[in-house]
Amino acid sequence: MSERHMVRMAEQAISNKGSDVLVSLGLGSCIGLALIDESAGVAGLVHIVLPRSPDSGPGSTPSKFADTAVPGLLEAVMRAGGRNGRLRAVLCGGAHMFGTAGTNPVMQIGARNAESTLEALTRLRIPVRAKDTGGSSGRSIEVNVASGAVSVRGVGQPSKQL
Amino acid sequence: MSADPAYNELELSAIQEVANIGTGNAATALAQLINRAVDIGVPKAELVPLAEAAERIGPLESMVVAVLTPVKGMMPASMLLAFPYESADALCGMLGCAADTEIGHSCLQEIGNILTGSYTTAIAGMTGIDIEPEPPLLAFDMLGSVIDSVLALSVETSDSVLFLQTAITVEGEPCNFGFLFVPREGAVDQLLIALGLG
Repeated sequence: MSERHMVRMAEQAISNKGSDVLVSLGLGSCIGLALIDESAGVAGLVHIVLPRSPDSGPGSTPSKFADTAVPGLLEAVMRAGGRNGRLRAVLCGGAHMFGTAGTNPVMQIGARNAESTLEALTRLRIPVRAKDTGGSSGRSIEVNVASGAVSVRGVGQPSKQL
Repeated sequence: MSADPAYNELELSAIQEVANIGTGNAATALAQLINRAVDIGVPKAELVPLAEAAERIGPLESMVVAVLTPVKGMMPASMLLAFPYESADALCGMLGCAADTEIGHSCLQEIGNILTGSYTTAIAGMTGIDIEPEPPLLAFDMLGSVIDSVLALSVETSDSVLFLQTAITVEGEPCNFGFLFVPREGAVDQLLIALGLG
């Protein structure tokens, strides 16, 4: 029986148990970022909310901000047995849920989240296996720890393997 | 370090009372618009940890029609109306159109405008805080995905989010929806100061 672990806003989950599935539901401007070491059977998922931590620092929730969530997830995945050279990243989310017009900051968060997450991955030299970001639709992500398979689905769409 | 806001009971009940008056005014405006009786639930002012916030509003993958009206001024905030699809369609039907048409979309945005405008007018009248709605925006998607960018604006330095939530029902019609007011981070302090509690 597989066990589904819900990863809510600003949370992360790591697993090296083959029966686990890591899930984030209803991502809009948020990013679901998975780091996967297929050969070690280790995966982690973080639910990123904002692109950058404020000047005062990330406080008690580094997983909330792309710039601190990515190194935090990397460290946790390596502690669980993942190896840096074998890790691959899969990310989705970062949508503009309410169209693209206007200058309201609500509009900008999704694109900035995706950009900042990719920057952090580049900085840490983690290759991106697949991404499904942007657009104007919400997504849910599921990471199968045993196979390293990631599926993403949106409303009224068949799920995609990334 | 994260400095989470903590509101005492007096402050929360004052915020709740403001929500009460705003919602009452919004419901009256809706009743006049559709010429039907409108029931409002008791508004709840809650300070909720971020991880739990979205689920407090409803199931994350439930399909909703969302009307987002940003509010600017001394107390920047977001007003979100979240309708089950059938309710949005029923409401549009009362105004002579269908939700999935262009006229239906304008209609829903206009409803967002009227409800948010009445809400902010009531708050402004009571507190002297200058706030006004911006043009409403529309999305048809999962509840979780329409709410996350709204919540994101309130949690940069805080790990919990204050929201004022009410359920609105149109009597005798298959129409109910959630009415959610989320002040931006720090904005509630302005309200408390205006109420003499800051």
